[in-house]
Amino acid sequence: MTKERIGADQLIEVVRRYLAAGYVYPVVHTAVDHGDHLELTYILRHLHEAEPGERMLKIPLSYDDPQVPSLTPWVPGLVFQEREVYDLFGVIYDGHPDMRRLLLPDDFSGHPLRKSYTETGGERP
Amino acid sequence: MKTQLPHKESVTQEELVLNLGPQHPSTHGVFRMVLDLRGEMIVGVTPHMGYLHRGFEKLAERRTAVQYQPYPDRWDYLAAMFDEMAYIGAGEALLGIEAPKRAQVLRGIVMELNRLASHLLWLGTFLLDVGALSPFLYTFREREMILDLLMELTGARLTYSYLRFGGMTHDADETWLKKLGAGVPYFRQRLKEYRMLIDDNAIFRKRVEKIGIISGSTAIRYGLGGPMLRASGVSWDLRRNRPYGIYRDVSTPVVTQEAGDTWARYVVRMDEMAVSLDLLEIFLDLIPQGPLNAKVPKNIKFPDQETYFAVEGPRGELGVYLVGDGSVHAKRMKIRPPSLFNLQALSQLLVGSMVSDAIAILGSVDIVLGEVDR
Repeated sequence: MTKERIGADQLIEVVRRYLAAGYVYPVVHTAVDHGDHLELTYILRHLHEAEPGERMLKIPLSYDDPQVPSLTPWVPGLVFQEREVYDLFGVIYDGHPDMRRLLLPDDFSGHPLRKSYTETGGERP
Repeated sequence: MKTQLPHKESVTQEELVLNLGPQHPSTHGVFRMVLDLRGEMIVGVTPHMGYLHRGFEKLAERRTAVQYQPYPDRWDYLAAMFDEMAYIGAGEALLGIEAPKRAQVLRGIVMELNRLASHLLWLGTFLLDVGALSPFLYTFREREMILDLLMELTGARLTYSYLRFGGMTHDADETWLKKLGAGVPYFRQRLKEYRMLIDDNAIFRKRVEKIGIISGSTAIRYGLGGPMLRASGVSWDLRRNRPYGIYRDVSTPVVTQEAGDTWARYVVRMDEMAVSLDLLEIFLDLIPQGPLNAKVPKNIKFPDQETYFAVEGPRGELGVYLVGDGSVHAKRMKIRPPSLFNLQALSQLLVGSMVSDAIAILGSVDIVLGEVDR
């Protein structure tokens, strides 16, 4: 799998290049909490190419104000994935058609998959 | 004499909002969708999920790699072997361990058995949804036999905890393998019976044909997997296209249908059951003598790397994205649940169809909320 590390401002441009090259199948999209920053991961797949059939994109984001453009106009298969990352990590996707929590109740506070979140009392100070 | 009804200007039309689930029996678990209806026609659908959210991804960061081994069974409780394979496979890829050949073949056997059990439950409940009561009893009779086999092997009906890093918990003895070998032709006969009963049933055909159509290109863009994708004419199966374990040594035939409707999804799953039976026979011939477990470090620590490992589950691509940081815990473990991706196409499938068809269409998607909500 070939990996590419880019900035949030390049995301749409790079993904459109991939889509034009046939990498249209959304495999997985998630975030990883590295303690001091978040990192978004996208895997896109070319269904007719054996090797390398998958491309991985990584985007570092700041911990306090994570914002990234939504890819849903180009990759509709990411609608729930982006909602899930918003739900569990608090990343805001600009231009997402339905930016609500996916799994947790709407009135839940905090984003539990961040390392700073504790099970007992919400965000760690 | 015909009486002309007076034309009433005061008759108003408005959209009706119908809440389906989370307790509705046809939503297969705790799935809830809000349908906007104009008469009997669906004009909008909003899915709601999360009622079964148990935080499995967070738990992977709190439990050690070894402690986490029984948890994957609880993601998709109808096809637990695939969840185990996805987690164990991802862990083995990170650790650089390869299970011995005997364990690989045995994994193939239990996975195909589990696929049969899962498809059988789908078949029974799907037909129940469209109004056929008796197939449910037949499919559950056969499914119970498969679960008995798995229980004899692993000790549990649904949540097996059978796979381990580098191998399995215990071996299958010759009597069990013989019993399985005798079960395959029996089951093939039953499968023929099901198809004889169901395929040409006029009511069933009328209920499922030409509804819930999704095209191949749309299916790809929405990331659908498994029978949902193959029923739309996309020939994609991880067992053939990205083989793992024992599937590297066998060639898996991929079943496709072109129509992309509910009927096509039914046919694909039925044909897949036949493929699973063929694979079971191949695996029974392949199974070698030898060790069952590879050498594994006593204290399993995921190295500071990342990996993505996916298996072809009964519902589609079931993947695990695993990031380690050199400790006994995973730094991040993300599950790619096929049902969640398949649900994304729900508005594509449902908008424009009738309420009564919605039940049949949702049944043909084959969702398991355990893995959608995790």
